[in-house]
Amino acid sequence: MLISNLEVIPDRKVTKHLGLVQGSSVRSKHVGRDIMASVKNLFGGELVGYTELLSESREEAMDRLKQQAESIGANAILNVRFSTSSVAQGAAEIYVYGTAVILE
Amino acid sequence: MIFQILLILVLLILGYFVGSHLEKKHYQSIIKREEMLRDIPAVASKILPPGSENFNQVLVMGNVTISVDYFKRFLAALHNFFGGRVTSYESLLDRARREAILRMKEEAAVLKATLVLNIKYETASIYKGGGKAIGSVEVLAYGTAMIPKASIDAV
Amino acid sequence: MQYENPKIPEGINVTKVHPLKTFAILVSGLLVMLLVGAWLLGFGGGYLASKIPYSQEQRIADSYEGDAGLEQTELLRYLQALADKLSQQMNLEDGMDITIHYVDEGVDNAFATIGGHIFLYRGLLEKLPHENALAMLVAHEIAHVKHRDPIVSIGRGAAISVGMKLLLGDASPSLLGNAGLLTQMRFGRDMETKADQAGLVAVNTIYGGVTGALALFEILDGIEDNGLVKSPEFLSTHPASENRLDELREIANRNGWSMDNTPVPFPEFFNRSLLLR
Repeated sequence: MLISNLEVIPDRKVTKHLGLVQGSSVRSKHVGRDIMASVKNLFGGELVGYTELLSESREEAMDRLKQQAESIGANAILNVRFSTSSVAQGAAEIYVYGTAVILE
Repeated sequence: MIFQILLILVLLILGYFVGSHLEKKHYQSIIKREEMLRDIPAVASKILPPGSENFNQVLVMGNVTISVDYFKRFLAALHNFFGGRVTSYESLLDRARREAILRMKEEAAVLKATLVLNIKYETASIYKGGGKAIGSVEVLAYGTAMIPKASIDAV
Repeated sequence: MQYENPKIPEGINVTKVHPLKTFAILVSGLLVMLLVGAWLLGFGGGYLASKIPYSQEQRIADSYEGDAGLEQTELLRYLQALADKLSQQMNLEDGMDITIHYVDEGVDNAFATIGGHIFLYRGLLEKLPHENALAMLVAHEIAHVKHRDPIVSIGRGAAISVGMKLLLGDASPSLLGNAGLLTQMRFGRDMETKADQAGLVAVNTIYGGVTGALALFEILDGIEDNGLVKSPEFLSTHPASENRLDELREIANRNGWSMDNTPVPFPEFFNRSLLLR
């Protein structure tokens, strides 16, 4: 499965567009991490717990995106975009979408 | 104190039954309408298909605000405490995204478009419900509808 | 180029798990955490309270002292003398003194509270057959004071109630705000067992045997049996009197303490004063 945010893949022609596919994941960290993060917020710096949270979510969202594309017989997803929204305090949603295509 | 606990219990039970009924109905309607609008593909790419000089372009969009029931909100707060996947918000967001696309496509269908290009989503939680948990989510989907010139001439 | 719009299977973006199942798991997890939290708080509060100096404890108790103008009756003097004799025997720390209060109510009750105050109720005293049983009762309560049980259990209660109030967002966590705390104190079962043992040692030393002391638990057992509802042992903080009796008998046996000494009778005014209302 080729995933890219390019419009076109050089030297490969798109034979078929299969429409929009999407993956999303909502995750949160447990209260302990939330408290640690708010302490760390006092001093600045990377909030490792939240970085982890977001990358975990992103991975899962990508996974779901791939599942959707595979289920309709695509072999690539082009023009992929990510969007992040904070659904609730300490929880984040990662949303990823793109066009499922069949490359020759 | 006892009254408050009872109230929460009643809200939880009501929220669960009414909420899951509404969700089921919404999914049924989404699946039905998706089937009806299946002949209008929506894609995220910006490349114009060959022969695009025979099309007119119009911006179409669809937005929806959906709220989650009390039971799921309670569940989300618990999820928030323990961490991990917040499963009770997943269906809310899934419904919102699909509904937004459907409304956009409905607009496109009225314009007799055959294709929608360059889809983008915008998600916002506009209403901060009781406490810090959101009660609802707004999704806006927009793209460019490709309308064959012939159909405009016909109108 | 071809455009198609195939149907994507349902449920990829939604985890397939029944919400009620998730709910049950999370709520029970939360309850377990709350229980563990309450236990830890109680333990910590009790530990900190046991570090409060005794003089401070007495000052707290004095602020609750209502009946300052105690009537010095013959009965009270007798009870106080008995308590003094026992506390001397039990090697109380310096500054720990015991004050006996007699409550003229028909309740079968006796308890020790902070500051070394021991309350004895007429109802229970009337049922006691001789001085040895009374001595065991008083020694048991003195042992609570000696082990700092009242302040520890107040510490536990206060820590838990502060925790609860923080959690429930109640704005007024008053530490000793409720007067019920002083009289409705619950001691843990291990506290009761230790107090029984310490009391038994003292009674044995003074009276040269434990017959009368054991009689107290036979009486308590009788009171329990007469009660409408007998709560099972695991629900109550006091061990069932039968079990206490067996345990103490065993201790006496092991140490070779006499179990057939003649109990000392009450002084002749004792029952007369109880009957005087």
